[in-house]
Amino acid sequence: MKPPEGSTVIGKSVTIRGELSGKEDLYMDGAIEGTITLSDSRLTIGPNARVQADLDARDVVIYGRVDGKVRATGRIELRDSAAVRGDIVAERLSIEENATIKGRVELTEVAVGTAAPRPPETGLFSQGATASTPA
Amino acid sequence: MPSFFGGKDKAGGGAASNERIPRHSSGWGQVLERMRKEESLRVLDIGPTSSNNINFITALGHSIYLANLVEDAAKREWIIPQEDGGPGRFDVERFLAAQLNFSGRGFDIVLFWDTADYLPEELLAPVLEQIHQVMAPDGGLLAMFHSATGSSMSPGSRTDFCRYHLTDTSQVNVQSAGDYPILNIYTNRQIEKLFSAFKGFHFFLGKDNLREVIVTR
Repeated sequence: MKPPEGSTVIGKSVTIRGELSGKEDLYMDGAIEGTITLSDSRLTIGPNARVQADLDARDVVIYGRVDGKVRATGRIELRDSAAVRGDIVAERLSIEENATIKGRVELTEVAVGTAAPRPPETGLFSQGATASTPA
Repeated sequence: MPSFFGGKDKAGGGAASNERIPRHSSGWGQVLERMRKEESLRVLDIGPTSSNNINFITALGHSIYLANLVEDAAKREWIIPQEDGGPGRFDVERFLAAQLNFSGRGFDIVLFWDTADYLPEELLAPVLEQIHQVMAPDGGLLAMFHSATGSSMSPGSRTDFCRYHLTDTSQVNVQSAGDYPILNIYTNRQIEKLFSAFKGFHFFLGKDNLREVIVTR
């Protein structure tokens, strides 16, 4: 797949051990053991990535396999081929068909001032969670 | 190939289908009642990942932990080959350590679905023992068991393993989530024995070939 335009790209032949942080969007298709922190940016985990790391970013899009905690202050998208083993914390979460999670899912409250109207408590969707396709 | 409810599946093959079939579930109705009455429950969903269930449960103010044991247990990596070439042995201890380690978390509600029928027999009792340990007192577990009565269901049958999507009524929407062999069919007596460590259980007989049981820790 093609990395998003303007992203820093780490290709599939690259292996990183340690902490990776930055302020730009990142497309990660290589191997990492450690942590990735992009507080104000978008992190995309490509289909070839081998991730054994805790991820922390504004938005996280996952196509590949992740072993570790995933935290986003905004949105997490698990695409069709995604497999996450670890806890997920996000304001919004979308999961495509066939994506899998093994771990705890915590959907945080939408920040004051940006909150959409909260649906009734018995509704299917709340706390900013969305389901883009059935899973 | 038998379908969810013991009939013949039109589609065949092992691919998961997008079709969702509504099914009445008295057991789910009871669990739902509790979820509406109580706040901040900790729910363990032992079924295929369902974004619908995540949204539904978190919208009610509860937390959810997901673990699909059937898919994990079906992997060859847990089989210990025998030196004499005989059938391998399931590595129960390693599986429990890898798949049922909840890092000290406890659960008020466990949605076990029909997982029992798809797990190797030697694994089921240890799994239930582990779940018993992580459940809170008075915690509830919803399980479903296929029945051989009136259907072609028998151990070894390949049938759709299903994802049960929750709804806000006594109904679940059933969707195929893969093709796994049914490994065991349990009688009601055997089911009672499996849950003998629990405080109590309540059976619900369905119109299809699934029996439901609510078990209380």
